[in-house]
Amino acid sequence: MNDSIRTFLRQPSGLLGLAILFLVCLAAALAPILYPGSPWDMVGAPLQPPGTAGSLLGTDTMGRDIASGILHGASVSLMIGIASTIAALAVGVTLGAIAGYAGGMVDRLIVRFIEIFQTIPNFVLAILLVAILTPSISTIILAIGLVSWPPLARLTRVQVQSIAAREFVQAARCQGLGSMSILLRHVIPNAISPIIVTGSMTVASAILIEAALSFMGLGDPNYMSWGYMIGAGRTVIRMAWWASLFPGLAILLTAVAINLIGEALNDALNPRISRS
Amino acid sequence: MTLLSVQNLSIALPAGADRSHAVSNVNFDIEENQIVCLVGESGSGKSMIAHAILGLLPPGIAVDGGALMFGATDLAHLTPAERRNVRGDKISMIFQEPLTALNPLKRVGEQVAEAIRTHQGAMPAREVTAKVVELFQQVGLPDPERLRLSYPFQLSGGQRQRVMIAMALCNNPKLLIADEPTTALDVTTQRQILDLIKGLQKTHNMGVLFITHDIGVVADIADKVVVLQKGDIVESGSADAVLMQPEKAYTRMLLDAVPGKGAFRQAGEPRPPVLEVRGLQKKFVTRQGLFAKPRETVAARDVSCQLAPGDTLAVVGESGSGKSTLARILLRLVEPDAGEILWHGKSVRQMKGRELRDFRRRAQIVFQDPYSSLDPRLKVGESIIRGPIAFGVGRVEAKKLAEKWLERVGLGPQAFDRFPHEFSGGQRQRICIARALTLRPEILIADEAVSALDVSIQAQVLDLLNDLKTEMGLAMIFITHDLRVAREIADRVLVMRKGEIEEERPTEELFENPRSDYTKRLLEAVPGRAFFAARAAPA
Repeated sequence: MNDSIRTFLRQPSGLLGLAILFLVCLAAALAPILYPGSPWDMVGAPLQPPGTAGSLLGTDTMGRDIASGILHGASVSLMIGIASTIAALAVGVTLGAIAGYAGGMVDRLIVRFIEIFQTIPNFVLAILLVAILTPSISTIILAIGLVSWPPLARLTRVQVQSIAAREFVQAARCQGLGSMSILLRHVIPNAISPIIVTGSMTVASAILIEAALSFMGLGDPNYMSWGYMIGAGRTVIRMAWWASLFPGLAILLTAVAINLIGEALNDALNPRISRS
Repeated sequence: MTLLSVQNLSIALPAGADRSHAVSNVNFDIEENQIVCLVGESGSGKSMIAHAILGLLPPGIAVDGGALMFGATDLAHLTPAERRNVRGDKISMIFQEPLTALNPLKRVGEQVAEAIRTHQGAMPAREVTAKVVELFQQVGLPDPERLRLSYPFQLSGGQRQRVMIAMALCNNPKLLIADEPTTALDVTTQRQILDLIKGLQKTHNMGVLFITHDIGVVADIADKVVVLQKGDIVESGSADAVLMQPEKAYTRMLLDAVPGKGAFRQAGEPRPPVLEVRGLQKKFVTRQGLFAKPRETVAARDVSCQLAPGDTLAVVGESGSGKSTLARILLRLVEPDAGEILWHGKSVRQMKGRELRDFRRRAQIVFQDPYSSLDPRLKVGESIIRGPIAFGVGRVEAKKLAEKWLERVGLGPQAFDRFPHEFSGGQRQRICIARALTLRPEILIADEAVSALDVSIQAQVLDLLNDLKTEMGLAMIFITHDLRVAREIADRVLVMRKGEIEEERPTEELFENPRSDYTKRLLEAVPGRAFFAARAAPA
């Protein structure tokens, strides 16, 4: 594990990703202190350019402070990204591991089930789910989790299949260990690194899906989110570019940061790279 | 005339390796029309020398002293362009693993043609094809016209190695480097490839640098032998001199460690069997697509045998003979299609849950590859104690047991807290043996347990297994492709071919007068057979 951490720290791109992500987390943590009021409150005249009337990044069509919205939105984006990835991992890894280890009929059934989800376009399914279940933070997490697990399940399934064929797993079976303990103690720990990497990328794509949902007006009306801000600023983009640009940059930076971390993790968890 | 002269060659390893130089101050010559064998155990630096000659050293490793004189040019100091001119033209190479040495997406004929075109640019396409066909004929590939259009996966291991040889020969090289070219092949195929290389070397007047760890192979083909140990030359000279009157203890040790020379083991009194197999059938069916006919491979056809306590049965056969599948069927890692396995008269195939676990505890296996048979993320002690703990032994007691067994297999209790990658292949195989024996089995199945090890380590592990067997009264099934190993350890030998039993006899009978033609062929293919017979005779 030490080797992995060292390789990770040797990579400038991974460090850059960590630094940006740290800033995003900092923004989320500092939001209530720097902007104690609700981000939905009017603070000045609508469509003020950045730097005027006491608002750092300007105001939107309703006179709300963009800077406040971005800081408050950070925690929403991160929360949704992480919660929905955890949900996707829980479903995906469990089903994938069962399919890969059991094989045969169980495997075929689970793969067919995964395919049902994969044949429906992700985003359309997410929109549909949120629209039917009425938009709220929990339905959004559910919807994003539900469209994100199939790739994780597939990956876990192949990983488990290849690890389960190794001789140390057969040796464990011969030692009299039960299937459950072999799967949990021998197979999954050896299969986990690519799953962690893909999981980290899933966080980034979950943030993007949430932004897109909010952009279309399917966000939780109680939480300010970056996607909503872009959506709200879209109609006035030629007069007030700042209303969409700054939240857009926030999304971009966060997604890039997480992807950079994911790629650095990929190298760090690969023993062939990390030990050389 | 001297073809290649290796003068004071030193190859530096990067800092942090187990020694500073892969090889140091190595001197030897290769003459025209001569086969020079570089012999040594793994880690002796023999492959490094071959790779240095063609400039194929991995990054971080470089020649830091001496010269590789090929005629008037020093191969150690060439520009990349000059090096490309030499490679594949004047000097060419054959590798150990013919499957990975060929591009899986290109037809084999095309790959050989590419090697020709690279060095003889302007040759018209038809001539190139004719040349490929001619080469394929020379290396004894059947039906060259059709075969040149095949992909590597459609060929057998021996055929792939022949394609590699054809590719190596296509520009009439003066020097051929063969890096363990027969190690991945079956004995009979190995014999054919050795004969082929020797024959081609004569007709082409080539010099050959042949790298191997197998003294038997050396005895069969070498004109000259260079023995390496940990990067230093131990002894070199003509094959007869070095092999018949070795001067150095290390050379003698290598010669003595070759298995299968001692007295035959005598089968004991017949006793009631602990394991009995009757009429086992297993067929593997691979579906090749929706409409293609599924391909069937027979792994076992009507296999029956018996095993008594204290008995060692060697199962011998070439790859694909079904011997490993048999081991896995016996442990119910693979389910057979039909047949009966009886353990003390109880049917193993009917067992479920508790009963099956009890059986598995009493029947343990040691696998071939010591690298993949230990969980890389677990301390070795942890791997060992999970078995006893699964059967209700307390953690403290299990740890004591594991330490006792680590001690018994010669590693010492401090091995308990280390990870598998800190051990060598031979040590890992000992750990696997300790893991199997901690459960106090009655039956031990060794699936090619010594095939991946150096001869000297092989001898030690075989001795250890023999001692443990007598000590614990184990019944052992020893699966191997190497008849020499079978002879060393087994009371009875069972020869398998394509899932069927060719013959099953006491070891001595089988070796002294084999009945089936197939067994005879296997015995004749054992490398160094004539040499070791001659060497044993006066003693």
